[in-house]
Formats: sequence, structure tokens, C-alpha cells
Amino acid sequence: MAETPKWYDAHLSEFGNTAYIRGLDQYSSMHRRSIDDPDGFWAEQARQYLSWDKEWDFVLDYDFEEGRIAWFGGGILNASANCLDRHLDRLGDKVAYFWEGDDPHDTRTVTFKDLYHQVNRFAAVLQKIGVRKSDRVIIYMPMIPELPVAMLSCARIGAVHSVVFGGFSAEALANRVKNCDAGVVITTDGGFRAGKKIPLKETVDQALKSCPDVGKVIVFDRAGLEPSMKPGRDIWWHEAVEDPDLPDRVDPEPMDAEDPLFILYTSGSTGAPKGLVHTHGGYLLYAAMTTRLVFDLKDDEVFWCTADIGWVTGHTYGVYGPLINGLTGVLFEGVPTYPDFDRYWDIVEKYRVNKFYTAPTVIRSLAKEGAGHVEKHDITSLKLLGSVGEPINPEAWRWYYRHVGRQWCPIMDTWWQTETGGHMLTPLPGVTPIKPGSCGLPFFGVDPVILDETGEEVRFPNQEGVLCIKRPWPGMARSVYGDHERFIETYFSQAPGMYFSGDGAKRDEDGYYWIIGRIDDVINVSGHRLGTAEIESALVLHDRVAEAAVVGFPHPVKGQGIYAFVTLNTGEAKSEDLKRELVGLVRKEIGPIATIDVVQWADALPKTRSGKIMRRILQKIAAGKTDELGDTSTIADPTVVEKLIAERVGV
Amino acid sequence: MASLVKSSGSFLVRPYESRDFQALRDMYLSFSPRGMFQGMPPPDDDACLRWIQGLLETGENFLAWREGSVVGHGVILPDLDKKDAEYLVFVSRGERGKGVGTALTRAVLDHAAGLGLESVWLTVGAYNMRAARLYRKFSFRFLEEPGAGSERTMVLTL
Repeated sequence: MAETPKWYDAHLSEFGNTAYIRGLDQYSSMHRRSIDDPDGFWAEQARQYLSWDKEWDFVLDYDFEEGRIAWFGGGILNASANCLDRHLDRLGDKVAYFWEGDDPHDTRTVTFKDLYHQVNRFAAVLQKIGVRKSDRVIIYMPMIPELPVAMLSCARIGAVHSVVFGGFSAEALANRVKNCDAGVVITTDGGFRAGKKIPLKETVDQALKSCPDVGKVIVFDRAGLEPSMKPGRDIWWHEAVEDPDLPDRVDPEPMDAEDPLFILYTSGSTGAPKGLVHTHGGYLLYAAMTTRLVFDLKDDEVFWCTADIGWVTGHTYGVYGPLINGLTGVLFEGVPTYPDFDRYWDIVEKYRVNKFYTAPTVIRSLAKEGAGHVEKHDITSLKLLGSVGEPINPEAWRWYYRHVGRQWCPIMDTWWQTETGGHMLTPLPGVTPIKPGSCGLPFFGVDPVILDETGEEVRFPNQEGVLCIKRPWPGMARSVYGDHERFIETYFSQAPGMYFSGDGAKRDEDGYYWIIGRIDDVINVSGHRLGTAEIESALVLHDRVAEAAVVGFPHPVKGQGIYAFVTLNTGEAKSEDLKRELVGLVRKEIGPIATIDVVQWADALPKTRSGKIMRRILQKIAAGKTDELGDTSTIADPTVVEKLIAERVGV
Repeated sequence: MASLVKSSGSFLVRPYESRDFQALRDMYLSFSPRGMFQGMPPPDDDACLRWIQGLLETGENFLAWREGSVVGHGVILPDLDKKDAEYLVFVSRGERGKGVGTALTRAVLDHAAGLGLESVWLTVGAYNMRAARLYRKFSFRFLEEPGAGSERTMVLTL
């Protein structure tokens, strides 16, 4: 039996000759330059990828101790103009989006000119209702063209958008609205998902019961649900844009490179999700450059990033990156499994998608159903694949390479975070062979280091540690909205002078990076970050619950599942109904992505004398590794552990 | 008996006295981030107060003061049968990196030596490198191999 290859290079014969970045030498010298001469290097890139009304006063100014980062300060530009206006002459009739609805017969083609007109119109609507530069606007919409229209309209007038993934609950939505003091919400009556109608406006109404400061809600009619409309607050999108007094064009607001462009909430180790702030200049440059170079996108190619725009992947590789480059993208409203498990391949065939970027959880769930679904379609247009959201296990990688990639398409397994704005560690298709499960090499401007638990740089290949970045890159977040202290504490207090990513990693003997997983109390469920503290806080809201500890455990499709150890108040009865209630409570507080997989009743949690919870014991129990508990002498009452093991819920 | 009052810079470390309760309580109620260190300090205020009371009843406590406010708290919880003690220390957000943790640790360990204990141990987040640096300064050593999970144990033989 042939040995399974550890690396693959079939793509190099072509990409090595046609890619923008070709060969290790070109990569290395360019990377070297980006680190040694950031001012010179990034000034060049900024001129190449973006259009500026006025050039910057300085390229980079920063101090990690203060969490202060500024790129292209004094430079003036606008995101909307970079995505649309500057393409009109040459690319007005070019397709910006092939939109495919949940139903395969529901499709639309949106050109750059279409998008330009719609964005201008909607920007005028926003202005008319009083939205001004730096105002925050919440967007809670399904994957329809009006979603990027809403984002770009906000950007056009200098308002700061915060897109909330449609799968978040009313509570989660309300928390975000309040946290960023949004005055306007843009939504739809509902959406379609796997043939069902999802009533989004109802969720918005529920959320806004606790948000009296929201003065306007703009509702796009997607599903014909006829939601209740609150007089004075709610207006229909289609009525608003038909206002004859509206101008056809709104001049793009001149924005400083460091003015905020958007806020995106992401989970952390403690407390509520944080609103990471990204700014106009650096983020747009990084989005544009990584889109072009990592996917090696040529002007006539079709690119499909399957991520929902509510996540950063959708922001950078579904909206800003492709549009700035004048590229054609696919926008899909539905799910990979409806009407059948071949839906994605049907779309690839329909639009002749050339470059495809998706999450390991999708690959795993489709692989389970068999390659027959892929084989039903002609996917020979595909030249390159991508993976994002969590490390991809080698089995899933190989399935993807073999059945979707036809043993040829290179897989760009990209590591990055909401905080980083764009790709940080990634293969490049014209540069090196690829290894299943490895995220390749640092992108330009990225200077990574792996630190061990004492804070020292690891000394040997394959030695594990936490991934830190030694200097700023243009795409990095600039703050946590309303809590800069938290920004500094979370990212800049552990490794002085560096960005602390919170992800564990190692570097092999060839210099390839491998991501291991979070080193803190953040879990990754289907590629989505969730803080265990958030889930615990939700559980403890129940009046019968005294305490809860939540850990992740290995899950064959989701990557990690959610395992909750729950201590009830004395005398409370344990029941399966109560377990279901608790699962429902968390879904209500956060959303369906936080559906707990296992609830185990725990009369007590394993704690030290001082009350500190020994999470590693719980992680081992949840993972079924009860014979690998290690030292348990620190636990005040060892019988607690015995009981937890005995009562472990089989998964 | 040697004075246990140690002064460093503009803050002061001394053993806890019952009249200090309010000031200690105030430090924890405004402490951030709550729940970060293996669930401590407890995010819920009532649970937090019960937890503080437990530490005061069973442990040897030291406080760091600056201008009338408590800015740090160090405590050992001895087990005289095992001849060891668990150590924990918390420093207010704005006071970190100023030597408060070091001063508290020194005061607590000096006291521990006088109790006839053989070792002091603690648990720390696996990649809480800042805290681990402090502990290693006092010769605490990791007990397990790396990669053991969310938190690790460190031990100091007295």
C-alpha cells in the first residue's frame, strides 16, 4: 500500500509559472523587505491596491504597550469609493455578485454599476434619517445583496457598521446594539434557510424592547412575511429608496485612514463578546492584498467565499477584499445541504467558480455524505481551494484535495482571526508545496514567534507554544469599542511588545506553521468562537443553577462540541427536562450556534482549596480521557473527581 | 518578631486585619476581569463575597495598600497535615506591573516559612506568562509537562 504523502506539489508546475508570487526566493525576499522596511514596502502596497484622496503623513506609528496602532495616518480615502466608484469606468457592467438564494431558482446578477446605484440610493436614505459620520449602525440580515449594500452605504457616509450574524438570538443582538450605542438597525422581515422562513424582524423587535435609543429600523422585504411595523420607528427599505426627493448620488465621505470602518463582536475568555474596531486604511489594504495574493485571483476569475458575512471571513473575503479588487464573487443565501448535499457543487458548476473558500466543518459534514454528491457536477472550473475557521484535520483535508480538488488544486489553509483583519499564516499557491493540516508561512508584514509557557521563544522544531506577533500589520484591529483597557489587557499584556493571539502553534523543521487550538477558555464550534464564560453566565441565569463549568470536547463534525457540568442548588431535582430547559436557555441567550451537546449534573466541581476550578480535569473527563487526568493532588476533595468520572455522559 | 510591614515605592504591604474588610471587598467588587483566573474572582457579587470570607477564615492574608485603597491581596491556605499551602494573589487592573505582586508574594512566602510548612503550591493559567514570570522569580517550578490543559500547577519547596 502506498504511503500517504506528507506534502503535495502538483499545483506548482502551473502556479509556479503564473502566480503573482512565484517561488520561495521571491516570497522570502518580499517577506524580508516587508519586515525590514515596512514604511517603504507598505507605502508601495497602499498605492497599488487603494485609491487615496490624499496620501498619508506617516506609514506606521505604534506602541504595543499602549495598544496604539496607526497606519497611513493623515491619509484620506473612502471604502465605498474604493469598492465601487473607481471601478465604474472600466468595470461598470462586470458582475460583482452572482447571488443565489436558498431556492436554486431564485437568483440575481448584480453588476458593479448596480451596486453603485443601490449604495448611493441607500446612503441617501441613511442620511435622510439622520445617520452621520461615526454613528454606529447595526445590520442584522441574511445573505442577500442588500447586505453588502447596507455595509457599503454606511461606509460611504462614514457611519460605522456592525453586522450581527443572523443566527444570534434577540438577547445577543440587544447586547450588541447597546454596547455600541447604535441608533439605527437595518434588517429584513425574514430570510430563507433550507426551505424554511426565518422571521428575523420578530427577533429584532424582541431585542429592541430593551433598546429604547434605537430611533429607526429599516426593513427590507425579503420573505413577504408582513411583520408588524412600529409607527415612527420602522420603515420599509423599498419605500425609503423610492423617495423622489433623494439624490441619485451621495459623495463619499473623506475618511482618515484611522477612522473606524466597522465593529465586529467576537467571543473572548471572559465576559461578554468584545466589539473589535477596524479602520479604513490599513484594514482595506490588507483585505485587498490578501484576497489578491493568497487566492491568486486573476481579473476574470470567479471567487466564492462561503462564509456568512456576519463573520469576519465574510467581511474581508466576501465583501471588501473582492470588491476593492474589482472581482466577481458569489453570494449564497442557503446552506450546503439543501435541497441536497450537492448544493455547493451545483453552485460551483452553475457560475464556473474558480476559487472556493470554506470551513472545515462544512467539508467534514459533506464528506460524511460521500463523494458521489461532488461527482454529480462538473467542477473543473475550480483551480484553487481554501480552508478557514479552525485547523483542518488531515483526513478532511485529503478528502477535499482528492474529491473537490481532483488531486491538483492547492488548498490555502489560512490562519487568522477577527482581530487580525485578514490572513496571517497561509500557503501561497506559487510558492511552496502544501502539507495537510499546516497553515503554511507568514504573509507579508507578519512577524510571528512561538512562546513557551515561560514566555521564551521555543527552541526546537515542533515545540508547542502560543503564537505571538512581534510587530503591527495593517489589518489589525485598533481597539475594543468602549474598552481600550480590555484591548490592551487581552492582546498586549502577556507578551510585552507583542500581539498575543491566544492560539497555540508549532513550527516544523521546514518552517511550516501548524495551529493547535486555543490556549485559553475559548472554544471553536463549527469554526465559530465561543467563550466558555459566556455559556456559563447564561446557564447560571437559571434560578435552579448554582454553578456551571463549560468545556469543549472533540466532535467529529463540529471540531469541538460543548460539554456543560452543572451544579444545581441544594435540593433541586435533576431531570432530562431540566437539561433540555438549560440547553434552550443558552440558545435563547446566545443563539443556536451555542447549542450545548452534553449536560452532566455535577454535585460539585473539581476545585482547589481556594475555589479555583480545575478545568483541565473537566476537559479530560469530557473528552473521555479519564485515565489521563494527571496530577489531582491540588483538588480539595478527590471524591468529586471520582463521582464526575463515574457519571460521565457518554457521547 | 520582625515587622511584617513592607513598603515598596508608594504602596504598603501588611497582614490583613478585620477592619480592612470593606476596603478588600471594594477591591474585588471593582476587579476586572472577573472570572478570568480559573473562575476567580467569582463574577457574581454574592458568590464573590462568600469566597472572600472563606479565604479570610481559612487563610493567612496579606493586603497591599496605596493611598487608602487595597490594590492587591495575597493569601496562603495551609494544610497542616500535608504541610503545604495553596497560594493565590490578585492585583487590581491599574496596579499590575508595578511590583505589587512581587511584594505580596515575598510577604506571604516569608510568613509561610515561619509556619513550618514544607511547600507552597499554586495553579496558574497555562499561558498566563506574566504570572508565571512572577512565580518563577520566587523559584516556583512547573509540576507537569506543558500541554496538560487550561491550567498548570507550580510548586515551591520551602
